[in-house]
Amino acid sequence: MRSVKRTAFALLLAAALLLPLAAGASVGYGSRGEEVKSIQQRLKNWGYYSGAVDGVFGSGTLAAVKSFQRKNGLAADGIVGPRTAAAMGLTLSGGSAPASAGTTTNEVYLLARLISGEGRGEPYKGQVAIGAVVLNRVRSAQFPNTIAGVIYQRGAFDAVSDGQVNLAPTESSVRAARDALNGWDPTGGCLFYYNPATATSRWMLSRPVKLRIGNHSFC
Amino acid sequence: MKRFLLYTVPVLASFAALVGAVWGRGQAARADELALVADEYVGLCVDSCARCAEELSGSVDEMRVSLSKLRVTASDSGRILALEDIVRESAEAQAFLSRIPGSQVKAMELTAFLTRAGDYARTLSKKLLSGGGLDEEDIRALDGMLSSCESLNGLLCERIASGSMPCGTEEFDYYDLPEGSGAEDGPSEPEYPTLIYDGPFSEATERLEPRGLTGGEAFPEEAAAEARRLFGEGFSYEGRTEGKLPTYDFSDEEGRAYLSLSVRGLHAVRWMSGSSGEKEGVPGEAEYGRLVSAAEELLERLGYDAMRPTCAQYYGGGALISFVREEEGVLIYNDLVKVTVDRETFEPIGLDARNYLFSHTEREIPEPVLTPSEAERRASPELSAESVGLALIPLTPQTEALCYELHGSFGGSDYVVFVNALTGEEEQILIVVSDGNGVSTL
Repeated sequence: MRSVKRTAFALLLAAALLLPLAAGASVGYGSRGEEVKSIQQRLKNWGYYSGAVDGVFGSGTLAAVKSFQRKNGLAADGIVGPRTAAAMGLTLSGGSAPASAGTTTNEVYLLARLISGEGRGEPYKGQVAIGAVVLNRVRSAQFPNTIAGVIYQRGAFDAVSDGQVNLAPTESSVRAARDALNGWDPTGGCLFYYNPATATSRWMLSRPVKLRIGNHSFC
Repeated sequence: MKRFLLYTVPVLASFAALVGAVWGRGQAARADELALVADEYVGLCVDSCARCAEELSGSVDEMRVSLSKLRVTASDSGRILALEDIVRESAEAQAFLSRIPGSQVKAMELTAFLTRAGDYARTLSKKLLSGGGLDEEDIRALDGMLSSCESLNGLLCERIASGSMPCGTEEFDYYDLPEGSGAEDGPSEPEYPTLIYDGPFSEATERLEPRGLTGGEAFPEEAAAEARRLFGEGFSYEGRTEGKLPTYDFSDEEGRAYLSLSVRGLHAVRWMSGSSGEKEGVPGEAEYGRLVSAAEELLERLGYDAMRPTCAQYYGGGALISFVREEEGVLIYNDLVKVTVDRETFEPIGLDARNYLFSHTEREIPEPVLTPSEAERRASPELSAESVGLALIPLTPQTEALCYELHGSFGGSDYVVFVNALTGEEEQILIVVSDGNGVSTL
């Protein structure tokens, strides 16, 4: 599937990549079911939760959710609403999200995870720029034509190599992913970036730098 | 006491030695198990890479076969089938290539060839379907593709046979040529043909220049003055960004607001500042009206006239509303500007006019040949059309078509169907998706 197309419709279609969580749905203390299991499993994978993945939202899950929310700059109310669920990469039921929304939400979430792993500590514009580089590659004939294909290309991003791409994204990286998908490209079409303080690739260092944002040189 | 120590210490020491021996033996067994798991994992990776190399070679060979058949096929239907095979085979080859952990620099050339081969085949297929034929330029390009596939498959077979395909166990810089990978030895990679066509991944598309820029090149000082005039004080000059649409960039002290003005003509290309709230969900009619009015005021102030709202997304406390230009009652979807409005203050907080600046130009919009009711009849009888209007839509990156835009529903889903207003061809179908964050299309 070529998920990002080039016509102007793509810009309308790009909006479809932003399908978010159903408004109004939430999961909290006392809730039970598969959604709670999904939340527990993710919290456990990320080290916030050590209890059983039993689908029962008890005090252990409550404490873990609050801890996750504090760490990710969310209101620590212990309730998994649309914003917290988005930060976890989950879609809650109870709304009108279509069947395809899961897939497209996943693309936003995957891009956000990469931005979070690659751009931690970078200015917001630099985070959007990382997302834009991924999308510029998707549109380029020289790279895979899907977001996942570009992100998981072997050796392409340190955050994939060192596993940081598997961590929950920060709130600003989710927004940066959406802004990049909505067309903001602070790099003017760049396909590469590197940190000049740590980069060793002769080929990369030989490329003319178009601009610098934060710690990254874009080319 | 001495007697107690005489017996107790050796017993305790023996016990500790026994426990240590048991623990050590367990750890050694565990280490063996992990080594086996690691070996198995490495074996799986190597096998997977070997499989991808074989499949890549197979897909390139299938492309070669399809191209050969295409050259001797007399009927258009046969040609279309062969071209669609090439589209599929090139996509498969790309997928397998992307799983081989080789140098990205080398993979870029091959990926570009495979991508453009499929893209070009799809373009030719559409050309034949719309009644066109293959011209001399097409035949030359197909011959070049065939020759490249033959050379490429030979090269892949040789590398597989010599064991020089990357298999994931090597350590090298993915952005440099891997030493000892065979990339420098043996036959070199084939020359890939330049494919001249109008498609999403063509070189011609990559070279497209902005058509909507007016005015001459400005200096940074002039840009700073224009930034103050349009968006107020507080922006500091950051620098110049090159690219197809070079810009002067500004930001505020807190790093919350960014502004880019085109070097040529000082058009506002991109403006972004933070929202004051976190309001989510689809607004009511009254709120939507206020949001659109605020966005329209900004567009008017910046000189974007005759813009009509089409759809909106709501996230991060803002409403991102898409506007397209309307001329003579025709919506021009390529002339797109997006405006973000703060949902708490109803003040504009963002603008993205890049698409408009790339595509806007004086157009000669043709008169429709079909009537709206004729267009409705050309659409599927399953679709109950609820509204019909005229729109200029992009067919390829470089061409547009005047279409009737039919909004209708079928089976509980909403659709937009575009029927060519000159030929009656069905050009595009979109599914309308409404959710908690607005309306979008798939």
